[in-house]
Amino acid sequence: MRSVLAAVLVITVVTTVHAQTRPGGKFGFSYPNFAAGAMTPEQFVTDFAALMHNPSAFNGWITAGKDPRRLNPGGIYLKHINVRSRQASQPSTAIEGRPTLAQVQAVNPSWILKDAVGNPVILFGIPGEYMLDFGNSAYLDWIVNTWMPTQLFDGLENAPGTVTWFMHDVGSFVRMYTNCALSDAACNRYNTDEGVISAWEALLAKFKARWPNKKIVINSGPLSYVPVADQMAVFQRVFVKTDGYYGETLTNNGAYWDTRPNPEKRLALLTTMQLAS
Amino acid sequence: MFFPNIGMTTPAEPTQGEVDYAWAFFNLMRKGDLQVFSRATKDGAGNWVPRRYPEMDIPLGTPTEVAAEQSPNLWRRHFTGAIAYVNLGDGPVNVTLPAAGAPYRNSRGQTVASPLTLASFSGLTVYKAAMAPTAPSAPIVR
Repeated sequence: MRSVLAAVLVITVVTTVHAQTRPGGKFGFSYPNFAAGAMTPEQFVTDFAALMHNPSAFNGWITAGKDPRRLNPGGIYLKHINVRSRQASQPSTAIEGRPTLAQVQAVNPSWILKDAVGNPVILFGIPGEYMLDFGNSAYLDWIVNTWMPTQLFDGLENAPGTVTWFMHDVGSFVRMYTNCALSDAACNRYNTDEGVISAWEALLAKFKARWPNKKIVINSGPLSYVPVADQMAVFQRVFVKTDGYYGETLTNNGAYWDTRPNPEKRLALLTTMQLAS
Repeated sequence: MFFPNIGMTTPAEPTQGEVDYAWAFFNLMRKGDLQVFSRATKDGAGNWVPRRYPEMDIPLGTPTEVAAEQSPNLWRRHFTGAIAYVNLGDGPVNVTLPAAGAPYRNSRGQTVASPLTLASFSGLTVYKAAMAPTAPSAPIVR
């Protein structure tokens, strides 16, 4: 009986994997909309091996009984998260998988970085995008031990031993240029490349130690102004602790550096070629 | 895994030329079973609605080389059923397609004549005659 069950399981897995491998290879889709007239989730999982979407979308699919992760356990279906920064316009973790202001303030408001005059540090100049002290050990302990299982994870993700996937946004590994108070070690940490990179390493180490069955990829991209070898040294240092790379662009088309001179575009593209391998 | 996307940062869908470039660039690099190509497809209202596109259903075959710089800034990778070319140079280049495998077609089944002209920062995957879109074949195996 045991061998029969094993055989059935093997056949099921092989069939699932084959179904999502198209003749041209494997394909993904980000933020799929299954509105009326579009492809259904059942159809989607037979064609697409990967997807990425926000927790709210997963919640909707779960409610409808059409969670792609359950329809196709062999798929790589990523949930968007971001514990590096919080967005003032997002009052719920379900929106993009972020800690909210209320959640952070209830535990330790100092985890929201402040500049020398006491204003929140803004990430990438995006209004309301307040940077968190995401390399802080106490913050990370709260994230992986409390926030994730109580605020982020759904039933499938909280099931022991289940393999589920996450995409962490804002994968930039370069320093900030914040006007920090001289005595503010937390703020000043992120004014160095090493401080930012080591924060990522700390985040990934805590996540993997607490949730060894969960996979995480980082949304990142190449730079057009840093030598390939230097970029790759950083990418290798961070990505070795992840399960992969997610990018919002591939070539120069649509990239913020598309307007740069050709040698800079080539530099970024050659970096991508190495990154993929 | 390697999960790059195209068409995420612009309101409109990528043009076919942008898809050809990205698909060829992706094919230069692809390796293993955890690399996925992702193209945003949208409906008339701008919603991101998934649908199949020709590149999904035409086999490339197996790679017979790693990406090679055929001439300065002209990159190429042979597969048993296709060839991916990417021009990262400052100007257009003419690429003489190998006789073996002709006639070549693009992903839409249109014949691609030799020499193939590639504009600066563009690319194309040309499929060998044996891999015509309707020809049955096995998926990529590595």
